[in-house]
Amino acid sequence: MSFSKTIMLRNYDGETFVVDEVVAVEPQTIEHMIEDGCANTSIPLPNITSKILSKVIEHCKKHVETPNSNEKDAKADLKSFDFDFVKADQGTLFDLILAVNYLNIKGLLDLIYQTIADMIKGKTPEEEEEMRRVNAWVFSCFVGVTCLYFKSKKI
Amino acid sequence: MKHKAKLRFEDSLPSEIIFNILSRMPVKSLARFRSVSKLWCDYIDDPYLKIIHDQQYPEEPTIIFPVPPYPSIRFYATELMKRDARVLEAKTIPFLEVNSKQGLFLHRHFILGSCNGLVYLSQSYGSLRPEDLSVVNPVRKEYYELPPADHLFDQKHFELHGLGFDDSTNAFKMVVLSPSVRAMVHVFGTRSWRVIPLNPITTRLDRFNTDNKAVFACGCLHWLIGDGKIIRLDMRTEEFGLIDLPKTQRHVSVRYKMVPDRLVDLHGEVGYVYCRFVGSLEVWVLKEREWAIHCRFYNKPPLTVSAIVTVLGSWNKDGDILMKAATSVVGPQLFVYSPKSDLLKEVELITKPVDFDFADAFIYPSSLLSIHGIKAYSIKETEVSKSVFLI
Repeated sequence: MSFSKTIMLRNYDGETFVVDEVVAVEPQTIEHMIEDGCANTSIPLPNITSKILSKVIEHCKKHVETPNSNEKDAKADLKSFDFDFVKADQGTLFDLILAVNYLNIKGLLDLIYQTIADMIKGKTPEEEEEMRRVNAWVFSCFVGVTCLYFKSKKI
Repeated sequence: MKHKAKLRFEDSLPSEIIFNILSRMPVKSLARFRSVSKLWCDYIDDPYLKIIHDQQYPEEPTIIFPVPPYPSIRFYATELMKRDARVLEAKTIPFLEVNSKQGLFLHRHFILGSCNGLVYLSQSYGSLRPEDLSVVNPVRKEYYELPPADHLFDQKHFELHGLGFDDSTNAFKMVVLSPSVRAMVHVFGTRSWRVIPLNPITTRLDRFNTDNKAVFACGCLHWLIGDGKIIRLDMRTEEFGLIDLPKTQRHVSVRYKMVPDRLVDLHGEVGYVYCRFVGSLEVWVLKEREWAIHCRFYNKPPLTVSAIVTVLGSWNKDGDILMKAATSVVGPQLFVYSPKSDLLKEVELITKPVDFDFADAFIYPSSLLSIHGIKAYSIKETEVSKSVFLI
């Protein structure tokens, strides 16, 4: 009986995650590392925490395991999984986006980008000010006069 | 391990992430977000965003209405409440009010065309002088006047006109054309007009063509001429060319038709609208120098056979078409025809301004280019009101 090949991922917490190769190659970064032969012992991912890495692996697993059929059930199931997946708090989303960007997982990247875009667009100036206050991390640590806020106050 | 400390929330995201997120937002939102902070403004004004934005976001067209009372015209923007339900809400305050230079507006068809989110209009009807034209940037609420051109020529009126964009120099160009006589161009950012050499092609321009509106698509301005051809002016090279019309089933000379053929802007492609007879409609679209039929229908309810249909433009990127039609029972209404589902549905407009008429509706695709600010001979701010933040 042969085992499917597994890959070890080691993050900066020092924790090691063992995943099936087919799941591990979802992130293109890891796929390239394996192709280049860097994966003999374990693949280091020094800038990703355990919490985020386990979430990412969970997503990759789900997408790999779901059969690539056009069945409505499978698609709907995947969709609801994705929907719940991005219902994380702001901090997690922030870390996720950096991790997924580094790992280069196309599908997940699109999902997160779209989620954040949907969160931001179409807000009124008041809502936007509120949102920006809460999510100061989203775009900048650049403290500036909120022209938007003052403009709407002025006229 | 070097990076023991956790990532701080205040650290900025890499720019590729920010660009990717911004590229998924509609132009309206981006126009608003420019005011948030200098950093946001720099990202949104970056030319790279324009490149990726075009590919990502299916741009929704904007619909505006001009409304009298004479002697001034007010332009109202509309906002789409629910795209699926085709419900438009007109803003209560106009974004622009134009006073007639002659003291009175004698007609209603002011808006002549659009290009990359800019709209241009005329102060007079029929033959125009260059100073009758003005260009409006609805998203920035700016109004550009064009320089006078009296010294350049003896004949003062032009039958044809168009606003185009030269992407090799990133400049808007306004073109005016008098068949066989003169063609002139004004490049935005300069202070004058310049003559464009005509060639024999332009002698075929037919004065009987009642609809002189140009369509800007694929880097060229297109005009429909009377004998079944389209004249094309390349914005980069400023050279004229000729395109044949599609082979429709029976081509009737434009002079004898009840409903004239028209060109329309179908989201950056040239559309040719052909009504063989009243109640029928064929829309062709020009793709890579070849014509393809986009949709056709005949006697489609709720339109009656006698309805005169005018295609206004593209409703969305699925290929749905916005048109206005007047039936014998009611005045002009707006409809959306969807080729995929073969359904024709009415557009509802709530909060209509007073004296409003569907007949004047103008639809145009908005563009990120118009947000970035345009160099022009003269820039004026239009009226900005509290409740109308941005179109």
